[in-house]
Amino acid sequence: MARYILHRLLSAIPVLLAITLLVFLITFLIPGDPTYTLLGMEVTEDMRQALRVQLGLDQPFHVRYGIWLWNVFHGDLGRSIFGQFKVTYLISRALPVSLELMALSLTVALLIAVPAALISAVKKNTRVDVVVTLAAFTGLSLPAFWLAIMLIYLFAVAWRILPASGFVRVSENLAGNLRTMILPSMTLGIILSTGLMRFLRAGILDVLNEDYVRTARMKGVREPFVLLRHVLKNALIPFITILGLEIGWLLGGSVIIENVFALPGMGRLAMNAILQRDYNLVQGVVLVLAGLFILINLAVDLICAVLDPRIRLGETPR
Amino acid sequence: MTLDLLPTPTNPVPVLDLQDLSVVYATEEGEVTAVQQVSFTLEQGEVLGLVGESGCGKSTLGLTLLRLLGWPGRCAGGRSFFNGQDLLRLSQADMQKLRGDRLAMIFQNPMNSLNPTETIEAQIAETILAHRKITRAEARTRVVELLELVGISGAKDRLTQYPFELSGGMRQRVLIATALALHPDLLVADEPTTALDLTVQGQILWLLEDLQKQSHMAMIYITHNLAVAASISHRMAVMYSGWLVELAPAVELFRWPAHPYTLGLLASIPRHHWRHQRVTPIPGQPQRRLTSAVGCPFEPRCGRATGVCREDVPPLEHIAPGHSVRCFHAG
Amino acid sequence: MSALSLASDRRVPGSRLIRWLRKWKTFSLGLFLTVIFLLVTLFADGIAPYDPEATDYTTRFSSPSLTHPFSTDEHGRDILSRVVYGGRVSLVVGIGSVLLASIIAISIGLMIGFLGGRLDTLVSRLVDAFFAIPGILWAITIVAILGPSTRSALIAIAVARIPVTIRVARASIIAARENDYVEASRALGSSWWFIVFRTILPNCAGPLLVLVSLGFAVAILDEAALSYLGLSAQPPTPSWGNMLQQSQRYLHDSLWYVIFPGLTLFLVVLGLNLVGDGIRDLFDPRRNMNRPG
Repeated sequence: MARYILHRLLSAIPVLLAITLLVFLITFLIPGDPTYTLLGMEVTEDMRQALRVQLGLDQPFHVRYGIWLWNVFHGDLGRSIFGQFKVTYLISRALPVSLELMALSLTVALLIAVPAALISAVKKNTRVDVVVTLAAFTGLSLPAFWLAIMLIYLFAVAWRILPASGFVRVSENLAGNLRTMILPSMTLGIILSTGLMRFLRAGILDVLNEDYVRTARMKGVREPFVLLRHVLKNALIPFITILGLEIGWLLGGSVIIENVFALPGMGRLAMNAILQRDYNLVQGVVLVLAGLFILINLAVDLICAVLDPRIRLGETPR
Repeated sequence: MTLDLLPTPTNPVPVLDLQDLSVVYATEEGEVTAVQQVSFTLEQGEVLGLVGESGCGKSTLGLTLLRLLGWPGRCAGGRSFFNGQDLLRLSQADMQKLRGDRLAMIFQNPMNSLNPTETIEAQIAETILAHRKITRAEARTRVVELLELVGISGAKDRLTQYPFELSGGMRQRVLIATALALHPDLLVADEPTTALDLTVQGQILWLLEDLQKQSHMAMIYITHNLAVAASISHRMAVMYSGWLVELAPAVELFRWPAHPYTLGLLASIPRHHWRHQRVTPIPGQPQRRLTSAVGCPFEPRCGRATGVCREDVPPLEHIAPGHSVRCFHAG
Repeated sequence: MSALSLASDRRVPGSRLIRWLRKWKTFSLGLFLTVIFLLVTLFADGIAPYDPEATDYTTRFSSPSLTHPFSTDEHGRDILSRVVYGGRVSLVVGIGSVLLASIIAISIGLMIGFLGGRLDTLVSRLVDAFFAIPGILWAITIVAILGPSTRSALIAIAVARIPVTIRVARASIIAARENDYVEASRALGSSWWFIVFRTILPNCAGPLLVLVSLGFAVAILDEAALSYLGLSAQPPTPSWGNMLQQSQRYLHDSLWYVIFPGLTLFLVVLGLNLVGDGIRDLFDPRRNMNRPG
């Protein structure tokens, strides 16, 4: 098992290299450079070129990439072109915010989706099922930022019990932090849950027809245990794989939601970096996001292996 | 057995007493009968061989006995007395208490009948722990005993194995162990060997025979293979198109078959001593019957059919001790 | 325990006819919404009661009324008219991006799937790497390169859509190629052209058509998101996304400003999704639902 993990992590390195190289190439091709944002339009070309040299923007592509790579191996992701903050510092401030948002949203989504899918599948074609299926459809069509704004109106303007935007760090005030995170994670969680509900319901319906469920009932096992130990446990395996993909969606959704709620997370950091042509920051963010993506995939595979002995022990067809 | 898992001695009431049991399926064309007014009794220690073509309703009957039949099937009438209790009127909770404990079933295809994500021990122990308050360790001892009982070698090593590590024959043995864990009064075996390799089929059959003789439990053995049924059964019941058409002790059924269908079945078995002789099949195909159909179900394929056969369903009549037939032209 | 009684004990009131009817109802609702969207957007000039950019500071944030059914915004502009014209942005970007992405990606996907080999491996690896970064960041990058405008948004969304379309196209052609029918055709001596056009492509059509039809809905949502971020249609041109962005600032002044553009966006996307789902049902061989116990 440990060897498997190590192998996966090692094989991730070329992927990371490829992605960063690709992004470096793209940023190289983006017209314009930070000098316009830093100095404005009203400076002479000489001054602009001087700044470029100072920032190292005049070097050829491979030299710049080589330098960057060398620095990465020393844990130095460079400095942001604006404000001269270290990229590692900026990311270390932004990453926990995004991770917290994703974790909370995922929790909300699962708390809604798992029971809903189970009930809807067991009571197939009854009114409950119809409601759940409709809800799933609605979630697919609902714009996340519209839901967010409506929730803001409800909780922050009409009822005034939650803040409309802003962020409080956990280190400063846990309660304050949770208050600022409730609406964002509810928004993403609700929409994510509808997608998950559909998949899980279909998966459960498939498992309900399996022979081993019939065996369990024959044994006289009580229905709740049949559903938990036999139906849900087996339905979760393909579901976890889907979950991995949906977490990718969550990462993208957080870009918008962080903007709606003014949360200083990775999404906002990435977007601003791109728009401001802050090359170092973009590279650093891409590296971290891609790394995160790879870790999530690895986690999904590991969980599947834990749940399914066939994966764990290597299925030998009999 | 050291553990107090054996049931108390049964009372003199028959283990199973079916009275006019009917089951239908909802389809797009209307309701189709799967089982029509089937009645028979089963005593403790008796084996009933339930035979018929595919689709005659024998599997449906088996599932209905344990109330494992799901939509679109439903029970349409009759009573099913198990040790004096009408199973069809029991609540879900009470039925679930009986299943696995006093009543059990083994199914046709063992390949997918075990939960792929749970160990063998866990699945057999689940039956025991669902009905008895004993510790896991005690359950484990019992599981080892059961695995040895059904002829699985190296029982202790098998405990932590998963179904995918076992062959089809082994899985069926595990399922038999699961079914017999608590010495049920009645075992319904629905074509338990059909999906297995030929060599394994015989082993499983003998195993069931042995176990049944040892434990003196009642068994309904469902199969389409007359010879197999005859070798294991005390009595045999022949079903056609949902109806019970003949019921007789096994030997008597073979020596003096009365129903044209039974005659046809027997005639269509190739004998090993035949040479250059053709097998005589029964003409035609079995058809689905809507609940609204009238007349004898076998009439379209019957050589003895007359006018009355098209109008009425023949009643089940005694023609000899223990021998009943549903035919206007029996004998 | 009635809530968790035997799961398959369900008495279903529906026969196949009722099931079909229910599906037909949702499909026709979707079709209705989609057609209304298309008509209103195409005939925006005739339908919109006001010039979408005409300001009137005496009627800011009015409640919905006969003169302004969708109320007015912070500049007194009629929201109904702005929503109607905003639909044009959504329509153009929606159709444009899907067409652009589909033409490029399906061609690439079919080709590499059919040819296989090193080209296939190379492109597939590129596509896999693409997924490591959320699609919206790729779209933002494109807009950053091209400058924010409707056209940039169209291209950006198309680019973000290309990898997944390549994957589906490649997968469906590979699956169709492995079809036994292809082998049988070859055994009978059919030429490759015949096989490709008569068996492989028709089998691919299903999943690809579903992807395209559902893609419209996704594209419109993506455009709205980019608009919200200020990266699509620029003011004063109305788009549903940038209207919602503004509406957030004026939540204390008017809830209607949030509701109407958002509701319109939601209903249009819902309609497209229902239509797409209906198309998917057409191609999905889920005919046998009744399995006797």
